[in-house]
Amino acid sequence: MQCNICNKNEATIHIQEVINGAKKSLHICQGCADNKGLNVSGLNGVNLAELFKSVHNTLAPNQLSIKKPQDTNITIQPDLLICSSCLWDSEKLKKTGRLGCSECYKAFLGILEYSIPNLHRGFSHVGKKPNSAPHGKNEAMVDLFRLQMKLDKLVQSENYEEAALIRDKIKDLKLSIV
Amino acid sequence: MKVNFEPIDFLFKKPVSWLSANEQDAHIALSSRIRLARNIANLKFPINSNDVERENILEMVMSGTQKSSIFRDRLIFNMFDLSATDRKFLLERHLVSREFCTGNKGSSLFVDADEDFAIMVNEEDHIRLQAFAPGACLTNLWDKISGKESLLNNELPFAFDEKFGYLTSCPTNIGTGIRASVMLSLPGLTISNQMNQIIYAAGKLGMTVRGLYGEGSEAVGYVYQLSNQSTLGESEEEIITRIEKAIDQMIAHEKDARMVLAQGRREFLSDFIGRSYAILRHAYIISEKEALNALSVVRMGIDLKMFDSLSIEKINTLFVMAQDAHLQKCIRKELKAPELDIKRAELIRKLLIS
Repeated sequence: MQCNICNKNEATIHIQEVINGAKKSLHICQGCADNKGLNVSGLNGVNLAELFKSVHNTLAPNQLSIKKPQDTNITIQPDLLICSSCLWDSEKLKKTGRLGCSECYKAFLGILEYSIPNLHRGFSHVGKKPNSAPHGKNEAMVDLFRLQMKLDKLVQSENYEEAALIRDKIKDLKLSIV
Repeated sequence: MKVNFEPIDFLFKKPVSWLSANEQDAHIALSSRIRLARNIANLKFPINSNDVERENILEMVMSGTQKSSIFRDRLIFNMFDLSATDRKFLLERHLVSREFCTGNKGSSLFVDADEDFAIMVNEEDHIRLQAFAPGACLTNLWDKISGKESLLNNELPFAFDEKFGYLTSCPTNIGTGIRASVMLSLPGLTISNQMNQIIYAAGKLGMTVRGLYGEGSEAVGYVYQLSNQSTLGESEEEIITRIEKAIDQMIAHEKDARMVLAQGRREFLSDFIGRSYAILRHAYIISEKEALNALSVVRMGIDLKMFDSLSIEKINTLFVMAQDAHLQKCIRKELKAPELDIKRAELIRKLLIS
């Protein structure tokens, strides 16, 4: 498979993300990864969601420069699939047999479609279905999820003032949900 | 029922309500359990959540259960705050799983004071609803737990997909998220060396046979839990009907095994049961496993009319009390073997003749 950036070399790094059910894949070669600061063996404390975003932006007409991340111990391996919603990856799935969030079912569909028929007597759901969610509750949950991810980032970057504001927002939102 | 003291002490002071004594085949089918795995829509699963996120989930489920009034008299146990003995105590009452006993922050058990309904919050999934009853009665349990699940769902949206059903952290639970199990005492099949065939046959029928404390545990006390393996592709009713048929067959096989032993090897069986009783009645040091095994054999002896003055209720009480954590609660001391085994033998001797 050719690199999506230089369109010349063989791609050795494969990244996949799923946003609202739409799957996007990115295949890049080692040279372009190095040029864009994506040192696959030494990504320091980097937020992978931001990384996805940055890499996709490089493919857009208004290319943004990617700064090489510092002080990190996260390693991206070739062929590693990552859920862009919760950052769970296919290695963790293989190691624990568990998924990180409901969106992981879309991110790792390829792996799951292979394994699920061996686990169950059928391929699709039969039986009880949820009540239709009260108006706005599902949307509120999405907001809550985003705020929690944001809070994580702020705490990691020691931005405690803003983190406190987000924490209060989470508290209010929780009260409005149940 | 009003609970006025520490929840653990409250549970300790009453017999477990889900162990059968008067139900049909009470000497074989001990209890039934159904659990439903659910996750709140759009939030990360517990395995991928930090302490704060798990605490948030706990608050939401706490509030959701309160608003939906699905508990009559709710007792709350925060696993993180409990001692290792108290966690094991809840495991021995089959209210929590072994995994839940690691006691992560935000992991909490809500249980009705009658112990017939419970929710584990932040186990492998956000919500694990569980309903319990004595004997084999899965259909009634399903009606009950499904009603409570619907009420909770009015307050909390659940992660669901048209193809994969209810979405769970482990793909083995997707679809219905149901695990229906019956706890069976099978000494007849075990001592006549038929359990391996039974486990193989159960596997062929899409069932799993587990030990006394569920996943990954040993079949102590000749007790096995039979449950469905698959959760996707069949409705809850279909799964339950399939298990009920398998349970009926298991009970029939166990009765046959007991009958064959009683008719063909009467002296062997009488000796085996008599020796088990003698161990319980006269031992001064007894391990948990030895005690539970002997109690199950004596339960079979009651079924075969070998004991006039012993009741299944008494054996059930001992079966619960002889477990390590219950015993330590009883003597109000944290002991290890051999001191604990000495205390166990003392308690059993005392209760057997009371």
